[in-house]
Amino acid sequence: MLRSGAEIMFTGDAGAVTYLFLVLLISLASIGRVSMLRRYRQKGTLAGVAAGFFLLAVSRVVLVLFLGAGRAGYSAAALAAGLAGFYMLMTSAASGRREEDYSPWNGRLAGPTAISGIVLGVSMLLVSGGKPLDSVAMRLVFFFVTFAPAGLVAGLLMERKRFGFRGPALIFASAAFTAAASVMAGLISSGLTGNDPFWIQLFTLVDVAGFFLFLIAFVFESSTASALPSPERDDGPRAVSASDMIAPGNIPGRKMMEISMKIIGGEKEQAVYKALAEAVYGETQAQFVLVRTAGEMDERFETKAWLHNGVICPQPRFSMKLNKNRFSALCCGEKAVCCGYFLDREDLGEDRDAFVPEGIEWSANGIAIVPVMEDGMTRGFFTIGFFRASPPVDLWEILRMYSFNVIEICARENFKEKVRSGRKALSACKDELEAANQLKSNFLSIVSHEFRTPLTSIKAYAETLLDNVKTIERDTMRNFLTVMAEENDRVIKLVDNMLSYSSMETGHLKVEKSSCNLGEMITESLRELEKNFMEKKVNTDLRLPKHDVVIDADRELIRQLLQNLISNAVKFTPHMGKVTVTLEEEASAARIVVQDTGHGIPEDQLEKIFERFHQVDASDTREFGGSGLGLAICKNIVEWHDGRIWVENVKEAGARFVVMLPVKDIIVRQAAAAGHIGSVRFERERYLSLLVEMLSEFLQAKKASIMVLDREKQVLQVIAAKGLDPEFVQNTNVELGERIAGKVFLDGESIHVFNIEKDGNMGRVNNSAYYGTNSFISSPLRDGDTIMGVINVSDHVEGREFTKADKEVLEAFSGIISGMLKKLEAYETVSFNFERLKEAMKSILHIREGLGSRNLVNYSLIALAVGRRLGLSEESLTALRMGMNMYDLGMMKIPRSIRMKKEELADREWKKLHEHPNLGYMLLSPMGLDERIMKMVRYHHEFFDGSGYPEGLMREEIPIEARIINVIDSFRALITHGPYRRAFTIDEARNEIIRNSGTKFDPKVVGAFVKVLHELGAREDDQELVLDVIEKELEAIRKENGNSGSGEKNREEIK
Amino acid sequence: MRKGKVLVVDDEVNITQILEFSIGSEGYEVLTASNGEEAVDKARREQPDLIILDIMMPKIDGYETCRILKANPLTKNIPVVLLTAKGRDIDKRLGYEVGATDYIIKPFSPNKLIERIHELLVSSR
Repeated sequence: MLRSGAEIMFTGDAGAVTYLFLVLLISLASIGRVSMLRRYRQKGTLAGVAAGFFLLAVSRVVLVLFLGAGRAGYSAAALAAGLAGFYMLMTSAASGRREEDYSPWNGRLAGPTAISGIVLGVSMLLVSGGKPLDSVAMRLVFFFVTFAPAGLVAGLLMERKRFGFRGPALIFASAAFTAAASVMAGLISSGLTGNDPFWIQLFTLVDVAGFFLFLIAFVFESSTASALPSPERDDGPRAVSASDMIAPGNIPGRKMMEISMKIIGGEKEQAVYKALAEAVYGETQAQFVLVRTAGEMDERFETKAWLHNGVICPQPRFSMKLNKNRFSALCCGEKAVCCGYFLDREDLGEDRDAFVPEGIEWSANGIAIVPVMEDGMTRGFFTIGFFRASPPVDLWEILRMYSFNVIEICARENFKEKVRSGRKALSACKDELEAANQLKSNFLSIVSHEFRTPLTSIKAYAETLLDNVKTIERDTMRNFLTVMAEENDRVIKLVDNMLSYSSMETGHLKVEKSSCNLGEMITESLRELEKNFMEKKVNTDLRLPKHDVVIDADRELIRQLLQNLISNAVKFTPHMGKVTVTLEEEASAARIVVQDTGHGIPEDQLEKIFERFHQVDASDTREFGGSGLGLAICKNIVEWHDGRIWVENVKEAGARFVVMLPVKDIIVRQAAAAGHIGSVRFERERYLSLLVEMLSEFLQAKKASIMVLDREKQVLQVIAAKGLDPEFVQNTNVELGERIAGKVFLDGESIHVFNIEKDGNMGRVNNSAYYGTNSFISSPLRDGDTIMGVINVSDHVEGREFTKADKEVLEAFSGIISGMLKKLEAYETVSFNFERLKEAMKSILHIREGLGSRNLVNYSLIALAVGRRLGLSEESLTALRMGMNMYDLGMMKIPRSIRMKKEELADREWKKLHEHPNLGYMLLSPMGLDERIMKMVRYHHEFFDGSGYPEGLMREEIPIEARIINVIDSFRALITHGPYRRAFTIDEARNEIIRNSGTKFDPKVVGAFVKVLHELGAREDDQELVLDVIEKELEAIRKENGNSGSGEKNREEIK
Repeated sequence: MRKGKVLVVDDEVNITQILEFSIGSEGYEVLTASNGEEAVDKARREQPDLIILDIMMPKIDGYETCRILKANPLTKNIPVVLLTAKGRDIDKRLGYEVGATDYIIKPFSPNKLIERIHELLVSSR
């Protein structure tokens, strides 16, 4: 049985050691618990208690050792007072807050409780003449009265914070505490008698009070610990019952409902966020509350409310921007506490400036972050921090509850935005309709005039003839009749034009395709229009390639196209001018250029002139005649043939119309499956041709084919091909393991034949499809781990051999093709947005036309060399290779008037231009490309110092591939002619890049780039960058093949 | 027998040709011009008795030509007949505003035109 601590202490026997041991044990246990609590960011409530005990023990040892029993009384009283102060100090130090901020144990509750207990005890001691402890019963009554207030406070605390005790339960809890404390006090003081000196009794009381405090602290803290959510536990949203929500005491629920009502009631967004921040502030005792959100497409969080010391402040400034990636990297599982994160200064490192606004001093405490989650996406988050008082332990639940408010308001604003944009679209629609109506009126007046003129002539001539039928001379009559016939033709032509236009517009046009020799047709058209040229004394210059350019097209429509374009050119060329018609063949398209020496077309009209009934200047109508339908018809014809038409101004004078018509040697195998009828079948064919076109275009191959495994027959079938015999495409079934394709399929390895004639083994791999081929590559088409087919390319357009780099491109491409084929399969079962996919594919093809395929290869090779030098992974390099082909896709969506503008752009135009990375990203999104490629498209205009667009990412936030593309693209832009500046020389461009290293560009990338440029031996040749990369590579392979007899390496591959 | 001098202005050669024939065969002397400038010039030099003027012509249109003619004391008394495909009322009113005497809409009947010419030349004498 315990004896009085004081007695043991002053008798100085082995008991004192036992007592000290006990006290130390309690202290250590407390410290242990405190350190555990620290993990949960509930800093050291017990630390103070423990420290108090520890010091109490130490002080008594000092008393015993140095002061002796005699004078101890006075010293002990002084020491006790000092200890009380020290105790307070330690508790606050442990928690790092000012005294009054801290736990209920300090100042506000513990102080009055302890004092009232002690005062009561002392006064009872005095009343009873210093002898209250004579009998056990008296002692119990004495202690009960002493500790009743403390018990009551403890009960109250439990009610409020922890257990929700109310009514009788509260009384019971208070009574239980008081009783327990009294019994313990009785036990401790059991060895004490009324004869003991006063100070011994006082010390006993202090001991008892200490134990009592410890008891309450223990219960309080352990219940806190269990109420504190542990990292392992994720118990989801707390079930909140209806009665909880309406109970007047349940403030969070009520506030949340009030805010919900505000949201539904249509309160302004700002006001809602203000109320939300204030509610959170009131609940959490945080010094500041920050609510930030981000839309689905946004990379960054935007501040919605910022409340500091209870006052709503204007938009805060952050010295660092916080984007979603960084946020998710910081708030990771490690730091998770329940549904949020607790981060302190060290956790955040440099990023703390992205979380806490400028001008806010960091306190030693951390900040709590609770993300607002919806559908697994982070919509936003709360940041609260620097607590003024102990935060409620159900802090996380409170914040999670308010996060529903954030979701609500976000959803509402989203909806409003949608309505707004819908309205905008509608009003745009209306404008468009009005414009169309205006166009119709213009059309009617122009057309009626166009009809009236020839009709007037016919009528006048006919009537005159009739009147003079007897007297008129034969020659005059012939002359009159000729005029009438001609004018009649004019009316017929006009009617034809209108009819074919309207049938094209409504889609009733029947395209009858046959092979058209473009060179012949152009010559023919020029001959037919000879009269027009003669009349105006306009010269013609016809430039045709040596070989025939044949496309698969509707002869009549193409004739109409050529006639319209050429007669249009003549029309706009002044007397004695010149019209130049050029025909060129490219990898997959024929290019027809009709250039005149007229006064050109205003820049802002370049796109409009292809609209219906549009003429540059109404007064031109009479001078040149025409219904304003000619170019609109041209555009329709070209589009019906999957081509493209545009116009550009020539520098000196005149306009240049360019038509790209795909060379239609693409054949799509008829699908065997039934049900592919009408538009579905048409779509499928168009889609597959686009795929093959992309394949041949990317590899610059004259022949290309896609073969897919027929699962039933277990043979490979060509589903689409370019440059191959239709018969072959329709009927070929390649057994697995046979021929090249069969081997590639089984082995899963590409076969690259550099030069078939030198390859002795090729005799065995007899393959009629490759007859006449000198170089080819076959690659497996992979879908994850399984192989679904084979893609082949052969015959480089330039007549050269395929290089290793080409093989890598093909292998990279196989991933894209298999993805696209899978989409096609999906399309055949479920409908999906095909148009968007086709648009993406077409854009990829078109952007290449602008840059020039050969140039693109060169720049890709530079990019790759830079990537290699920087030690990028193979996957990265593959992505980079693909990305280089499509990073600027969004430019296709920017109006020409902005892209080609000669003057400095206006703010609004810059803004539009800066949208192009995002536009490209959206354009490509249906293709399901590798994430890396998508990021290159989106971030290739981000600058190293964060001054780029669209997100203003900086440094390592920008993917390395995008940083490389940024340098290469800037270099490309510098060495080509811009709309309003001359081209730089390579040296100037290089220096410009170096000058911007560290600001716009990553110094690491610039370093590698400069070295690569040097290594590649880039030189300038007539303003164009010439690189020897392809030649060098070809040379190397040739050498290798020469050394090893006749293509040893290739033979191995084929085996 | 000189009945009078008529100036026909139109940029369509076919129209000037047929008018030259039909008006000429009625005994009038016919002059032609294919644009506004030429018309103003010829009217000043040749002092025709009547001008038949097309409206939609390149550079200077018929209205403008008429205004120039009416502003010049040498030509201001020559009656002008506008001959045009523009048939709306507002076009007509504009024609009278610039000083035209008559307004004939295309397609027209040469006989009716000649009748009108007769009337105008008789009344102006």
